[in-house]
Amino acid sequence: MAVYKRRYRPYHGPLTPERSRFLVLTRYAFAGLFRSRVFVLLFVLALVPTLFFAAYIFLANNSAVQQFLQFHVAGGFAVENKFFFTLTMIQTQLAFLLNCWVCPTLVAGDLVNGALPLFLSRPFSRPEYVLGKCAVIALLLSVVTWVPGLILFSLQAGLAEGGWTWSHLWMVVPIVCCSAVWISMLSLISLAVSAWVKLRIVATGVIFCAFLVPAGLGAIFNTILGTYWGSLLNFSELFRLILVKGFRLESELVGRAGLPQVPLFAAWIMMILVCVLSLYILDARLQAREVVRG
Amino acid sequence: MNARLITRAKEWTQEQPWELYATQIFVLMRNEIRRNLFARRRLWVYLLAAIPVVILLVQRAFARNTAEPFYIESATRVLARIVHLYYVRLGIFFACMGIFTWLFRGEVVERTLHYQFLVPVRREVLVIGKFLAGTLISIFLFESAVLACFYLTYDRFGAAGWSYIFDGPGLHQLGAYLLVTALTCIGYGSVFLALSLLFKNPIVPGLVLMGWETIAPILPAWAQRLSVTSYMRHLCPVELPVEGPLAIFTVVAEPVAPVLAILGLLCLSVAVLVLSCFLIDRIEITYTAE
Repeated sequence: MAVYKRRYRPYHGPLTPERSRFLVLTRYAFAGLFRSRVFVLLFVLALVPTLFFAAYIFLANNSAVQQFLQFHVAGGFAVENKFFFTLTMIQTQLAFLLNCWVCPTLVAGDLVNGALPLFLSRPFSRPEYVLGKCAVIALLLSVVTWVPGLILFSLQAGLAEGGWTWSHLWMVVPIVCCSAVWISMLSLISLAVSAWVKLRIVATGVIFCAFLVPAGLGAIFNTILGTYWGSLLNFSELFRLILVKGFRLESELVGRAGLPQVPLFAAWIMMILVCVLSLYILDARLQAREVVRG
Repeated sequence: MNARLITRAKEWTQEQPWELYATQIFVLMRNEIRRNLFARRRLWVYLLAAIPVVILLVQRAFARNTAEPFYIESATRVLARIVHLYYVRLGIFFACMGIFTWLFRGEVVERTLHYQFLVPVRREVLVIGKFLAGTLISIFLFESAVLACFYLTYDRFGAAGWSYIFDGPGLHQLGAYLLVTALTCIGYGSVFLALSLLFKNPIVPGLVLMGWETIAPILPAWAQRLSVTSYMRHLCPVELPVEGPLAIFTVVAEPVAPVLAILGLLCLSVAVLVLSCFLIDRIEITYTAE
């Protein structure tokens, strides 16, 4: 049998542009995610509340249907800033649940199976790796948070009369920006936790703990010491404060129980600190080497 | 027919090697406690139990002006909130999630479950042994924490605090808190053990359980009997007002006698444990899927 000399031949085909290289990870991650039936079910369920909100908008703008169904709401059906505030609050909480399911599958598998050195041995940097993984979460959670918000805004703009669009156009900014803040924080915390604990089951549990236990501790801290600074540990509450400010609802919602709340700047500082800490953990854990003890 | 069944049951009971089972359960418990109680990965459970104690220590150090006997009433309410809102709803819930789901899922993740299945021990005995070990660990941790919280709450009042404990309702409240803590560990423990045998990733169903426990007060009375916290509410010595958005939907269930509440929760736990014994028989080890 003839044995031919085999030499290394470099790849000469078209290269993925450097700028969009991180999207390769995103593409493969999406393909993997949509193979899971549980994920698809969760994803569809996360969009169900939007349908109810759309039905509300339709009802609010159709007096004939209101009369037919004999609905009488004190003050009438209002689609104002409080409506979009509620929508964003509900959708961001659903985004949190979706994130808890998705995030541990993104990084933990690569770390447990020692795939990270393989990724990083290619012309692919660590920030690009993180960006690729974050893009999965960002795109996915966008579809659940601000995209339905904008669709409902457009629906209302199309159905409403008398310059509603121009007088409410400012609400586009909080819908998009506040959702973006929540998505950024969620994705960074979840990736950091996944990179830290590595095991998928444990990572899912720790992500939930990271949001729910500090909130409970903060409440206990407030109760025991008679202060409000414990609320800084409640990330959902911090986000609610930012959302309230964004939707100009301070007079209605802040201090609703007559209790003082943490200042807005403190909420921002806390959220930024958490993001920086998550980045630090990611930087420490995502290395192209691993120290095996014992 | 009934007489025959009773006779067969008696025969079956006499045939079982109960002493051997007891020894096996004891050995399993000893091994599990050694592996789980004094492990570095259990540090977060200690933290979960100890953080309210640390906050109370901070209060003791810095808020000396609230040590007047006048504040005993409010301190009692604060302690009730710590036990009912933090320990029962969050601390014990997450600790049991960590401890009890790891009893079997952890063995699968670490690829050691086949060793347990290869030894000549019935799988039901394995479930009971591991459950008892987890229960002992969680009860020990959280009872110590509740005891420390109780001590720190009343000790700063000096003689008035001790008088409240021994001459007033303090001792009864302590007993009730310890009972609530132990029963919560048993209740959540059995449920999480069953979830870990039923699902590959028991955390998500665990969170569904948390949602169920949260909305339990607004459910009809019969549905409330399927939640751990509703039993605990009847045993709490200090009644806490329902707060938050769910308050207006709350269905006030008929008060249940403490004995019935204890028996109800124990029956629920035993039923879930029996289910776990059936589930363990179905388990096939497929480490590759993890």
